[in-house]
Amino acid sequence: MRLAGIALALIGCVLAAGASDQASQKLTVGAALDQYAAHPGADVPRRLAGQGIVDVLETYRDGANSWIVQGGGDGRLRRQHVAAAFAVELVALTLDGSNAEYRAGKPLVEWFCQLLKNQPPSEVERMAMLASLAAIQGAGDSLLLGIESGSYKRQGHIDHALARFPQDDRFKLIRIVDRYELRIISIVPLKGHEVLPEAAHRMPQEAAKRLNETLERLLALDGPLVRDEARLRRGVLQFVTGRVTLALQEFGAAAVTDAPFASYIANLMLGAIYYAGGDSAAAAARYSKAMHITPATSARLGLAASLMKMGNTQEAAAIAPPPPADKRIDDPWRLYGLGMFHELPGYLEAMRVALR
Amino acid sequence: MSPRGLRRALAACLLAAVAAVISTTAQEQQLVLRSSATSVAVHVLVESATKPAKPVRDLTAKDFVVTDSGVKQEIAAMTTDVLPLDVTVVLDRLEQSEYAKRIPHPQVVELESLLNKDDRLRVVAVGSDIEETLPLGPPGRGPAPLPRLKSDLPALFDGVATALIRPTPPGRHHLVVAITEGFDAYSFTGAAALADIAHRSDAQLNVIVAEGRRLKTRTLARVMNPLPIDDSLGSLVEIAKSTGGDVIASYRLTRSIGGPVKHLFDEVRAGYVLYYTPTGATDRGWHPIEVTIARPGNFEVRARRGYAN
Repeated sequence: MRLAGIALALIGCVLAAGASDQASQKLTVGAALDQYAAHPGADVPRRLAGQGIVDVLETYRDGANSWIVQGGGDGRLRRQHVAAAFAVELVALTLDGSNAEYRAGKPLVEWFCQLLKNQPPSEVERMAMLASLAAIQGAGDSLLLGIESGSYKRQGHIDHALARFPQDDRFKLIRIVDRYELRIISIVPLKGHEVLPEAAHRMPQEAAKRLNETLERLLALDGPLVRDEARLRRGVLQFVTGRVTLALQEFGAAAVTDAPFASYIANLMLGAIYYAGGDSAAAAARYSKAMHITPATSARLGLAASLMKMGNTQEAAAIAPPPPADKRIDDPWRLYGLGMFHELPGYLEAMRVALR
Repeated sequence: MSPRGLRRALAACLLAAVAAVISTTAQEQQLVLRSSATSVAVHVLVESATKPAKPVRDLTAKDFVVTDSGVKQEIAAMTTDVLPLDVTVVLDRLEQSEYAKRIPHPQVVELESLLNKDDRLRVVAVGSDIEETLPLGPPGRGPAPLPRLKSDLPALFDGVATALIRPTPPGRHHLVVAITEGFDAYSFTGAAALADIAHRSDAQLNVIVAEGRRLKTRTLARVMNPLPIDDSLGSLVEIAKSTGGDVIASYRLTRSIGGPVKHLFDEVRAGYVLYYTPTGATDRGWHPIEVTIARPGNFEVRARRGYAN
């Protein structure tokens, strides 16, 4: 028994020493960038951030600058792209964390922007710009993004991006959807038309001018990369200004696109309009389509409410319960007011592909 | 991926739905239990108009006068059985309140302690989405875990709608108790749709209004938002009253809710259920109900204001 006890104690010591070694093998910024350069993906930034994201964010620039210098002449541009993309990955990770984490990550946006501004524009830079702007919109950080509110303008990251890629409609769309009237997410069904006239009452000329200007800028966006999103946002703008017929046209067009986000919200809005108009069956059909695209809470409850109004309480009850927490699906409705944040995963992936 | 900055974005641009005036004055409140489209069951609470008010338990069917859409109805049956309760607690996360995020949640524990063994409890947490943290079941199963929702800003109406849509099994009362600051940030369900749901639900909605950051939030919303404030709490209170529910207002987060909730449960358990088959009333739409007492004396009568079919 005594020998067995000693043996167990020894095994314990060995295991503890092994664990200690592993803990001491900290991933450095340079090593992380080497790995990311070889296999661009979400895993390496996540592992580095897991070591203490605020510390990592605060020391990243120094580490990345040293790593870039080590690349020498020919490798320098490639390393700049890798380091810039990695910085965007880190900023995106802060969106799941605290305000302190986001604050620590913000300087990396301007850092990577400066890093690449003397290089010819590239696809990596384009996607890094788009991803970082989507992240900034997810954080609701208009100061960093840049503000354009009536006569008041404040330069921000979007202006840098537009200067680098002036022909890319996606940056123009980001600029436009960050305008106040398109950020409104509480497009409380069929209350919108009651909303803006009051704002217009308070600032009649400015409000009307702004709304028309926003609409005109949206109408100009008809390229394949932004068409669906622009239609959706135009529909909302028409809706909140009480032009329901035009809103129905825009939503109708957006509802049949292949873009899941635009199609989901458009179907939801159509459902709300039909519901308020007393056509529960048409509303149910639209909510059902939205649910088919993304079975999220808003579509589920919209459909359940329509079914209840039609007297189908048992069907409504079968649809209404929320899914288990581990099977919850992000509801696009909640993301609408955050601009192009919903595109962030796609932009990040495109950035990694461009890096490969 | 969840947007960390939803809170900030909302503060800047959301048409914040915040509370307005809450009246706790006793108003006629009503309950309806409906078992089919052709018969209506109305839960009626009768108290003496004296102070303190006491439940009146010796009434017969002949003592009640029920009108449906203004037409007097014949009461086919009446029961005074104490039905078991199904209680759904809708708990918004009461932003930034560490007290409210404790496990077990103090108010839920208090409420649970007032349930009988035949009663059942369900907890629905409301944040940026809806999560059932404790499925419907008997009391005493242990505390409901904290929800995994990442944002504190609530989709309150969506949460209440989720609770109300659940049908009530025969022979039970369904009470929905929303413990909330009355701030709605994300709901797709608007006030009109929620009212529609409530009017078709068998459940009675009760609201316990927690005083947290409500006033501060309202002020912030007024300053930052050029648009009119959507009065979520006012709408919720009206909807609760239309279901016969009660409103416990100005409750501080650290204060016991045992007294008001016990009173609420006692009232529901001490009520009468009147059954009638609607005659002379319109078939579709909203049916206003009025219940009065034919017997001489002063009574406080609470019954649902109507139902929709």
